Amino acid sequence: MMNSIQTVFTRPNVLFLLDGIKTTLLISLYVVILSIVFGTLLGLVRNYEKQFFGKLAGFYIELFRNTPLLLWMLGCAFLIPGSTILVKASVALFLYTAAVVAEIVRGGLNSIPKGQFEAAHSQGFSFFQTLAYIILPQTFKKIIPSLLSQVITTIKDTSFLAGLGIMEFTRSGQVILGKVTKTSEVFLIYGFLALIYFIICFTLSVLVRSWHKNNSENV
Amino acid sequence: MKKRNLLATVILSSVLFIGACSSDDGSTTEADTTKGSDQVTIASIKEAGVLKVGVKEDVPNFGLKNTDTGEIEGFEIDIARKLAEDILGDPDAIELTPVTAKTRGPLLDNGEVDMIIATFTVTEERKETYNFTDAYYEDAVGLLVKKDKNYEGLEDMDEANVGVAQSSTTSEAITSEAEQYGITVEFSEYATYPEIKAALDSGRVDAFSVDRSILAGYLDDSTEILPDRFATQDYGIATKKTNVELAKYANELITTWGEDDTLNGLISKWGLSE
Repeated sequence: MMNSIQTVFTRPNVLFLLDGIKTTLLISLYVVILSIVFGTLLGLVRNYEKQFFGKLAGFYIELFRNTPLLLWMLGCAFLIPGSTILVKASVALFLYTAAVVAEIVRGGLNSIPKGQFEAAHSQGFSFFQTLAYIILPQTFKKIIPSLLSQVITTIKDTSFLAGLGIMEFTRSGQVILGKVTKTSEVFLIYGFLALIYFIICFTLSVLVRSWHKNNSENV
Repeated sequence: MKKRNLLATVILSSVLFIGACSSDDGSTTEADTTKGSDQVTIASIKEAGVLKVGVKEDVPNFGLKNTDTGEIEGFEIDIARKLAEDILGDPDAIELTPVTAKTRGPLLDNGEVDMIIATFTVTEERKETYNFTDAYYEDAVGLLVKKDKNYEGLEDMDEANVGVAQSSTTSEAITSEAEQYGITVEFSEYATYPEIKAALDSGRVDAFSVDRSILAGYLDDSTEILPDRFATQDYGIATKKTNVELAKYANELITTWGEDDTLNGLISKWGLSE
């Protein structure tokens, strides 16, 4: 076992894996931020605009939520012209995650009593002011737990990119697997991958939960 | 009313989905026939000043990323360099794109790479979709088994479970050979070679079957490679079906290098001769 650790975790290999972690985290960061922004927009449109755009948003959300992520990644990577395969496949992850976030946001919006709109309106708030100052802040506070679990899912979903040869964390592990021949070394690498994903996601979950707890006590 | 809306959504989405699928087919055939300017020729490569090659980055000795330098190295990379040297006069004028068995076909079709040199086995079926050069390397499928099973060859392996890699042609080769002996074997597919080795060590499969050049790297005290050699597999350079000129040019080079022992030199350099 000691031998395996020494052959697997050489300095270049560790640096190579760290590079993979960096790519995974960067992709996750961009995808999460963009999909929360776009997802919120989609959720709002679907909830409050019942005409053409509402239906369009609804169609988009249902289409992405009910089809496999890998399909979209392959589709985007090979059918969109230009750019790198990394960017194109990440766009697919973003489009998919936005659809899920939209439904989470919509759930939050529906949990806010409708009377608040009327109350705000009577005080001279416009529809958009009501959304920005009254409805959305409450919505986000309520949906943080479900949003968090979606963020964690998204971080893990980036491992799909390995199938397309994108050098994120899982793929960097696979490249190192290419050189090893002993079973113990294989388990060591997979164990390491699992451990790092766990550390990232668990830390995030603990941080957000404690922040949420402190924050809701202040309200 | 709500039900009708739901029905409408379902119908609309299926129509769009089917539409997306069929327009996809349409666009590729269109690209094949009308976009003559997209053709990759020796002249267009010279104009671009770089040869774009799809290679493996996780296969030892053929194409493996060196975690120390970040460069991909191996026999196939050397071939790519030689091609670049011949076409562009500079062995470094290459752009390597890592491919997997899943991505190499589409990347070739959408023009992101000029050619694929990535342990791509030449088959009659694949020849209908891509141009292949003659083999730059010939390999045969072998069987790595546990010594304590006392197998002497495939003959003894009735109802054995054989571990093979996904999307590989190995299982077809073994099945046809097994039929001649009148025995049947089962197959389990794995994503990577070390996983198959792990399955062999833990007893989940009875044999690890892949090309002999790769098997040699997994030989240890408790295992042996059986003498069987089935279905010689030719690794060829693949180009897009429409790029006939490029395919011909590459083929001539491979033929020349085969005759003047250039290929053999590279094969022994990477420890691939048996």
